[in-house]
Amino acid sequence: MEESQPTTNNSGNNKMIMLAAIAAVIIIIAAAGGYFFMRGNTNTTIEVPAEDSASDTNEMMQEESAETSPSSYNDGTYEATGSYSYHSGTEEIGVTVTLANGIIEDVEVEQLAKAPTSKTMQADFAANYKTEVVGMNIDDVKLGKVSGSSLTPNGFNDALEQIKTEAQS
Amino acid sequence: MRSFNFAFEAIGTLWVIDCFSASSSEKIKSQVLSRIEDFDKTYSRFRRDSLVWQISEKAGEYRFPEDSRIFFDYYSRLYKITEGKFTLLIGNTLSQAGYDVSYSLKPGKINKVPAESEVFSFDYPVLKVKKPYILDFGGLGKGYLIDIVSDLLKENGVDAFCIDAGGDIYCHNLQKSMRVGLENPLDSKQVIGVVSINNKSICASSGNRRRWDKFHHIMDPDSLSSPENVLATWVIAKDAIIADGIATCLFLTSPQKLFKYFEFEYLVLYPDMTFKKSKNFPSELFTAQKNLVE
Repeated sequence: MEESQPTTNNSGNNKMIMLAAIAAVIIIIAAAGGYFFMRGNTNTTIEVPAEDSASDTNEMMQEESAETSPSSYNDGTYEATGSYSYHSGTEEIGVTVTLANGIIEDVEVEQLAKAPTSKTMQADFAANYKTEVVGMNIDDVKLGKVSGSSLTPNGFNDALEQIKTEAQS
Repeated sequence: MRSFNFAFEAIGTLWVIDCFSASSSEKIKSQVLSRIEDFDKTYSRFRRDSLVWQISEKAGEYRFPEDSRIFFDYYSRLYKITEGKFTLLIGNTLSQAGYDVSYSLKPGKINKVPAESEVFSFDYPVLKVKKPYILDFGGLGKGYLIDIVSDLLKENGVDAFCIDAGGDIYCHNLQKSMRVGLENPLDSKQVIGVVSINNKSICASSGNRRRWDKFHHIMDPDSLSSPENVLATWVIAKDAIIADGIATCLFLTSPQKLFKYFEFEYLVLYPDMTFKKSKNFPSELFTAQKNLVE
């Protein structure tokens, strides 16, 4: 983010970027809405800012575009805030989308809920929308090689063992 | 076509080289070992007979071998791109933190890291050293050495080969892509996914290995601490020097900054086991829900 700068020109491009960001926000908020709905706690209405009002509510950030980028979207980090109505009032959720080489590379969710139940649900969503990897035993996977750094230098390992021994004595 | 393989220990790790070649294995093996020895004797901060050791004791002008041109070029590019975070000067910092020549692993006082220009300047083949300083060539060293050994094998008519230097790998011209498991940093008996590579290198970096006190082998020269927001990284690139360097740099800076200058694919694993990867990282990752094939 430290290298971001506000957009000032390239309105055609901006429109595309805005569309991309809004599309991402819709996807995320739809996912969030669906998630909340599935939990059966509330009826969720999703309101996404219309395109022409987007510039008022969205804080757009743009990085310098990569020279080699083949896509029509400029690489960079885009922030937007989406809102949806909850029975106690309107709630907001912040979304930051990182585009690299024209694809959504990362999405961060900022929790902005005010009502206690909304807070809980947004926290739950933020904690669960990302996928976690799990380990599988090497013997169960057909492999030629393993890439990692378990083969640390012998000198280092010996020293570490020695320190452990000293600590135990 | 004959095939043979040889394994040996060098630069502190286990190397396994599989070759498919008409040339004699003994000739190739001795050339590889002697080339690695030359490299180590120039760039290792862990041996008292190295050029880097001399630099740590005395200011002056030091003449470097031919391979230094590319080496210093990559170091200086990554130094600029990472705004000084990826630096040869980290050798002093690692050493003061306890990762020193005698592996004391006992942290002492850690000094602020100066600008490289205050310590040295390089004009091939001469390094002007203004004050004695411990330089660390570990950030790119293993990757560069894999590329050097790879060139050597090609020059010797080895048609197809795979070099594995302690989990950093380069495969050349294999009939079938190599299936490489991505080691779980928390359990070396497990993998978190599989990639298939050929004519490419994959290098890994993990903050979970080589740990002592509150440090691991990567240090941020600004905070003088080891980054803990990333658990491990894997990078695939055409050259091992790039894969190796970027695997380290992803602990220190964002992939976006590096994409402007290098072609690579990456996977970053976070301490909570969530991940971030580039679109074309050719992996099959194991997830809690199902095997995510991409």
